[in-house]
Amino acid sequence: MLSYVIRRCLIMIPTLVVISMIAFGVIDLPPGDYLTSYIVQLESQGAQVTEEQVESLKRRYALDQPLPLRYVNWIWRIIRYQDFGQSWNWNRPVAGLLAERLPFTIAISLTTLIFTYAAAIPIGIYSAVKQYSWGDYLFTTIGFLGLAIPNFLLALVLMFIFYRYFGVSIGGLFSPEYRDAAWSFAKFWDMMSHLWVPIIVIGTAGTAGLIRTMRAVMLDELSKDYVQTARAKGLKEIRVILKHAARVAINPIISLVGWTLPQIISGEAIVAVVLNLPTTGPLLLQALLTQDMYLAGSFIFILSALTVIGTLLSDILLAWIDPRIRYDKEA
Amino acid sequence: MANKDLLLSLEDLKTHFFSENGLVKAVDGVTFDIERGESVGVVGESGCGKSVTSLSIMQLIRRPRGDIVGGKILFNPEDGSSIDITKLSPGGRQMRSIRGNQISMIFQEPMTSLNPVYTIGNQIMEAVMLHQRSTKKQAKERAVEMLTKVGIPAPLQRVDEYPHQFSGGMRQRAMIAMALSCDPEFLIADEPTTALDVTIEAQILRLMKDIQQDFGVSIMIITHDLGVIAEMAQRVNVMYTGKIVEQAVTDDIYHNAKHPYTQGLLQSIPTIGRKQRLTPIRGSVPNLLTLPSNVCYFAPRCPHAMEICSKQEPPLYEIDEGHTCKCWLYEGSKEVSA
Repeated sequence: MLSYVIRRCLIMIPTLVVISMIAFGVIDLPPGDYLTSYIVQLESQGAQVTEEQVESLKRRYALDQPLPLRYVNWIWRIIRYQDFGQSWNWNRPVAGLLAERLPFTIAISLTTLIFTYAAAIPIGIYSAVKQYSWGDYLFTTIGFLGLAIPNFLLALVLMFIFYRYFGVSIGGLFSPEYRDAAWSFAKFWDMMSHLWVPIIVIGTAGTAGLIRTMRAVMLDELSKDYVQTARAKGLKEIRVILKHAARVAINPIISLVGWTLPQIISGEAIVAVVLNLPTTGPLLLQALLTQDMYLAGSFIFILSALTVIGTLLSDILLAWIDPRIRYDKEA
Repeated sequence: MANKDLLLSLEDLKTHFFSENGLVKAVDGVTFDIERGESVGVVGESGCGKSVTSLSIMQLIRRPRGDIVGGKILFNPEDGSSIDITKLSPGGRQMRSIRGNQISMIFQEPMTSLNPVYTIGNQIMEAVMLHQRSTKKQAKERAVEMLTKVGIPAPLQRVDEYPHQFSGGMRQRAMIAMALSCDPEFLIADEPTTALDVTIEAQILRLMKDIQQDFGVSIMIITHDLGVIAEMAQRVNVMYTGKIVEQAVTDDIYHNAKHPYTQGLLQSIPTIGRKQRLTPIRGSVPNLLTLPSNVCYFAPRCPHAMEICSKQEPPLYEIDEGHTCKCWLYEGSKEVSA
């Protein structure tokens, strides 16, 4: 098991290297030089940019060097100094912006993931056990609606309904009075009371898909012989379902974590714009629009890296809970 | 109770399925007895109701798709009580305390009848802990003891292995260990060797015979293979389309088969040194959905079919003591009330 984990971690390194190259490629894609757009921006604001400033910026970002060298430089600064470069638009180090926004993205993504699984697994089991019952039809209908309605539309509709009928604005993660306040229990509570909206909005589609998968896998497992064996032992039906069938059915669902995570993160970006959430999504979009390329590239790199790590964790989890997965060479 | 040696008796058992296309009378008026310590065979082609009979005894027929609609299953365990299993609620406490404890079952497919994510030991211990109220440690000791008894080498090590680390024959041994772990009085073996290689089949049959001696358990062996019956059973029930067509001691079935269906089954067994061609039974098992009522269902395939066969269902005739046959050919023999 340990050697499997180590091997998987080692395989992750080349993946991350390729991701960082692509992310850096995105930075370099637009025509022109970031410095030119930066200088134009500064000059349009009436500032004077001296020759020395331009030279020092060029040296700092190694812009006088070819692309591969610049890539190595960028990576080196990230590894050595945790310096992801400078955001032109915000005129701040990218690292600071990341530190500000990333925790919210991670928090929302993880809670959404937990919500998705916590809702989908029991509903999927119920739907399979009570196949073609009213409850099954109800959840199936809700599930298909959840799959069919785009996230941003759901967000808009929820915002409209809550504002119109309850006079509550559900955008953002904090009420105005807490937005700039220091962290306290009250602020945390305020965040939790806002958090459910994005979780539901982002999680609905994923939950709906997972319910369908869980239901299908569970139906498959329930018809297998070992379930009959478990019944023939004299176990209670609930134990037969949960200990035997559901325990096996859950394995493929767990392997889906790695696949659900990128969905949640990219789904989060659009919803965050609509709901005005302080996460990485709106910032990334803005960065792409204004060609704020160090910011955009760094976000893409970090989010992709997190997804790779998430996938790795789900694989390790699966290998841990499913004895049939061979992680030893001799097995 | 007429006979104190009677362990289980089915009386006019009817198990029907309510499919979308109509009523399927999978088991339709089956009557037979099993005595203590006896091995009884149930033989027939696929779809004749053998497995449904055994699932009915275990009360494992899935509702609402199927149900026991008539008859009795009288179970007389050693404690002297007499229970009509059909009266028990399938999920109820009493039925669960019988299932896997007093009556247990082994299935056809050893490759799929064990849960892939639990160790063999865990799956045996589950039944032991459930019925014997033993501790985990005792249950594990019992699991190792059972694995030893069914001839699994290095049981102390294999008890912690998963089903995929076992071969088909080993898995079936483990299934037998599991079924016998609570010392049942009655074991149902539903095609226990059908999925196995012939050499392994012989080993498993040998094991089952030994185990019957050691545990004093009664066995009902369900198979389509008359060779298995010859090896294992003292008495045989031949089933066709949900009904028993012939009952006799094993010797009589082989040397003095009366029903044309039984004769047909015997003629379709290949044997070494045989001079004549194999004669298969013509046609195939009819669709249970479209059966007419009150006729002999075998008539369309029967070489001896007479006019009466497609007009009226034959009664059960007693050919000899302990040998009954449901066929018009024996009209004039003593009728047995079914």
